[in-house]
Amino acid sequence: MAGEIIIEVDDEGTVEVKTHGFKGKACMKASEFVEQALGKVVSTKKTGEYYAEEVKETVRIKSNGNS
Amino acid sequence: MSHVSAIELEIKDVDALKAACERLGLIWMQGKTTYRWYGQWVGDYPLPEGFKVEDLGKCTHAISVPGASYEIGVVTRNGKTTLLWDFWSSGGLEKILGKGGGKLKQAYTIETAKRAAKKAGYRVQEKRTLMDRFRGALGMQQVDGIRLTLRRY
Repeated sequence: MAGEIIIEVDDEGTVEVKTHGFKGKACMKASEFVEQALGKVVSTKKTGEYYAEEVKETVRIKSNGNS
Repeated sequence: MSHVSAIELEIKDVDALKAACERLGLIWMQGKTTYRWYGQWVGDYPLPEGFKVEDLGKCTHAISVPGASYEIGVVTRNGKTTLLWDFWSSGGLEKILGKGGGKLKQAYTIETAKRAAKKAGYRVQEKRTLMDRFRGALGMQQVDGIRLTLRRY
């Protein structure tokens, strides 16, 4: 199955990462590299389809570090 | 007045920061060890964490923002990169880059994500988008966002 990752960044630098089309927990793995590159995750939200075969996941990341 | 603070951004990739500057039309000044600010600490705001008064105005590289009289200092110390700016209105930086340097944060985040995605073997498509955000007294607002769609080749 072809997975897709969608990254949205607002005008204050807050990031939302959504994955879909990945089987089972592969979605968490799929977006891991994005979270590693960008910084710490402030919240993770799974959609109702988490336990279905096609999984959607939303992760919010706030670019933060120095203060 | 001086209001030097650190832009809240964890810089892991200086090349992505340079690309972010290019995206916004800012000028990266490699090796410029001073940045323009009010020039005197007034003490009305806390100092950026880990910095002393005598550190202000000194940097590793500087970023010039066309239309603004003040500049941004890029300070690399102990392997950590911090952006310092004086956001006092007369310096013009906040007017151009948004509150907290938001536009620079957005551009850096997009450039970093694009680089990481390409390295991980994804094809990246970029599009402007509107995002719903709660903005204090203004309530819910539609703000300018950027969307990246990542697919495998």
